[in-house]
Amino acid sequence: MPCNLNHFSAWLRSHRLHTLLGLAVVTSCLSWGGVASANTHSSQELARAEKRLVEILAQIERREINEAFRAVTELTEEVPNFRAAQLLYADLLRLRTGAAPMGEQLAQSQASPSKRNMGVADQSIAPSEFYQGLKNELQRRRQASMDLPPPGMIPSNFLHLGPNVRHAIAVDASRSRLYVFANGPQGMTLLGNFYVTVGRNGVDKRAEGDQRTPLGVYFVGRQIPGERLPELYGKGALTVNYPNDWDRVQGRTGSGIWLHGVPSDQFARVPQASDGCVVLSNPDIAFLMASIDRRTPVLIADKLNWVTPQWTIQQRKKDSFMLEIEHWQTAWRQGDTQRLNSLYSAEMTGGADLLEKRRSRLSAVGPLSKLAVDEMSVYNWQEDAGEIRIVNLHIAKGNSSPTVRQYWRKNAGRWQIFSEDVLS
Amino acid sequence: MFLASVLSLLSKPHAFSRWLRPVTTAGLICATAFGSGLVQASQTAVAEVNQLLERGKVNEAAQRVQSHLKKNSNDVQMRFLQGVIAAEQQKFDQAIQIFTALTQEYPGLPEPYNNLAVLYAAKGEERKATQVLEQAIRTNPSYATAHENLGDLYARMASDAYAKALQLDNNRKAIQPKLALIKQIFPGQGAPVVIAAATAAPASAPATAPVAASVPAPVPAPASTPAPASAPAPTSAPTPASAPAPVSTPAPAASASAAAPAAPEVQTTKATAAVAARPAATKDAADSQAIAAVEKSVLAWANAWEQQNMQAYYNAYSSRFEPQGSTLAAWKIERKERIVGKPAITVTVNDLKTSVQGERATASFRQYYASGGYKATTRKTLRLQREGDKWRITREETGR
Repeated sequence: MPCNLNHFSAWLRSHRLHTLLGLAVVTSCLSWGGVASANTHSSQELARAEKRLVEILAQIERREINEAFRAVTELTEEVPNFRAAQLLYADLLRLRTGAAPMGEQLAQSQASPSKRNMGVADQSIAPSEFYQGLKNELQRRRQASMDLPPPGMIPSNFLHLGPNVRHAIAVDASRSRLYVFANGPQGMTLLGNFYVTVGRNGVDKRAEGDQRTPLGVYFVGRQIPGERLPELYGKGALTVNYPNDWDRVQGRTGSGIWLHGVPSDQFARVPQASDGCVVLSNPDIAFLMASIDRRTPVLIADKLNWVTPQWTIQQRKKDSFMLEIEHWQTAWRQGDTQRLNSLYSAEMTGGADLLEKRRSRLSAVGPLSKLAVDEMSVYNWQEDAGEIRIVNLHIAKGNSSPTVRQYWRKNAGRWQIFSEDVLS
Repeated sequence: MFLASVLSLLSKPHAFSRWLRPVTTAGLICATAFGSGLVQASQTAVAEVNQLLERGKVNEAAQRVQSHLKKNSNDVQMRFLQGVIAAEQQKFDQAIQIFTALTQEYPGLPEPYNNLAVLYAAKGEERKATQVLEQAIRTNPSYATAHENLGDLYARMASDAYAKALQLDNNRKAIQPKLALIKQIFPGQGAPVVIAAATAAPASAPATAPVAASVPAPVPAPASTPAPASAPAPTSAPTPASAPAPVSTPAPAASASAAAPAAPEVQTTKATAAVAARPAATKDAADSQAIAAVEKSVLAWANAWEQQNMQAYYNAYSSRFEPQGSTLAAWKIERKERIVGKPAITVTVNDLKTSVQGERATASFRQYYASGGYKATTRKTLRLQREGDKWRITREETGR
């Protein structure tokens, strides 16, 4: 029987592969308008396992079952901890016996993971949920491979990146995908894109322990090598500054949101599995740790909104906010307190001491009259609770050039600063 | 336990003799191999070894094989037996060596491949095992045993992969009970009848419904109710039966799919299915009554064996029963030793065919036997005679 594939393909013709159900559907409804881009980059070589998996999925769709079987046999042999590949392998083995896939039934037959086979990370996920997770992982990996963002386009939240921002990261939680851009004189170019896992309960973090991943614009803090962390974090971690000042204003709690790797017993984790962190495969986090600077922006959105770089330029021209930031710079240089006060929101101007604190902090940067912003990055973020801009102003001051980070908020049609910090 | 069930997959020597028949090229090669004047002597020796093995005297069998091979070092059949014995003695590396050599010297023979694969599987080298079986199938596309074992291996490996993928216990039992079905064990001297039976068997087994029928069966919608724990048996029949089984005709696709979950394995049906499906008797009512009585007796015999109820078991035999090569008393003792105290015994009667001539009856069927890790399916014929209102066994023949 196994060498006679006639009935096999007949089976396939009449029935979709269980595990792969809906792959085609996914692509058609989430497509970027059919723009297929052949984005090949060396960083993707690190994600060879995913590439191979995706090719196997394509083979199955083309009904090249023998080839798919051979390939998945090799893949599971070489990357045995790639659970999604194991699921495919199991299904194809089942098909070879002339029977239908039965991962779902098996998963439903057990209430909790087996001691022998459970991973370090996902022990709390019941098998049936885990099965669904692996299915989603397969779908999203396949979708990502067929559906790269159109070349040249960028997420709309990166309104303007100054030249000292060398990289930018954007996470599309709905696609379980992280995109890394290089930023240079020619603008932003996509370096690579990786499968990621977000919180067990999805996104939109509100409170400590809600197992959700925050949505917003954050910045990389420090790097922690894996050796200094528990096994759970794999090759290491990049911290981000959740909760940021906007989150605090919104009363959001929690901490320790990182980008990190996976324990060595798992190649990847299912799309929703973490306590709120963004989790990458170890080769991918290693790539990020090798190339990403401190303060690299990390945009986490449920769905990314892709725009052309021209759009951001036009947006900046139209945006009333850009005028306000000019006003602020002028007022500072001129020492125009009254004007400045009007640019800070009530919570910032509330007390005289607060104002004084702020003035002295900024004064430490240098004589106000000589304050010169040599470059600036602007990020926008919009959600039901409001629309904000995050600005990083790099002050020209010899070697140590400090950064002033401001959070602006639109209040009754007017842009005002509600938070300000000086970063050395 | 696992090992035992794998070992039960081994092509037994009796199966090997099937290939003496010039029905395939493999058979021809084989026939040439045995074409010397030694054939007669070899066959006697083989029969002796087989008998020793059947009585569980493995070491004696090993000695017998060894002394035979000293004189006839090229006797393929004996070398094959040597491999089987080594495997039964758990000398896996030695057994692997023997079968590997046989595959190299006689690439046309499928059994050494099969046994080599089973040994690899026993060692946990399942991927290697599948490669060997695929090789066996390439040389002998119709070798059903390799197809079946390959199917079993795939099912087993699928189970492993699911367990790894989904963090599950590896519940192999849930996924494939198929390892138990050993169609190649047909003891006896391979009369043409046996071959016919051998070829027909896969098709007549309810488990191996034709491909078309069994395939659509389990395809559930993604969220559909779980299929039964026991998966449909791998569709191993490489070709439709040349002689369609008269009994237990596969139901049409629709009902087969419904039935598949319930009866992936023959033993669940006991003999009742076969009895029910028996061609409606064209004979007179008395005859069919007699047939029913005979079948009842056969089932009672199997049941007594299963229950390890020696009184009822002996009672199934006539006082005129003549055990082969033994006295009735010695036979009773031997049977008791081999039945009482064993791990739970399963005895199933399949494809029961009965004929009655006056006071005498013949019942032929496939006997499935399992106890502990050991499982075997054999062809069995019982001759019975009427004694009052009972039918009792007068002869018990295996393999025809």
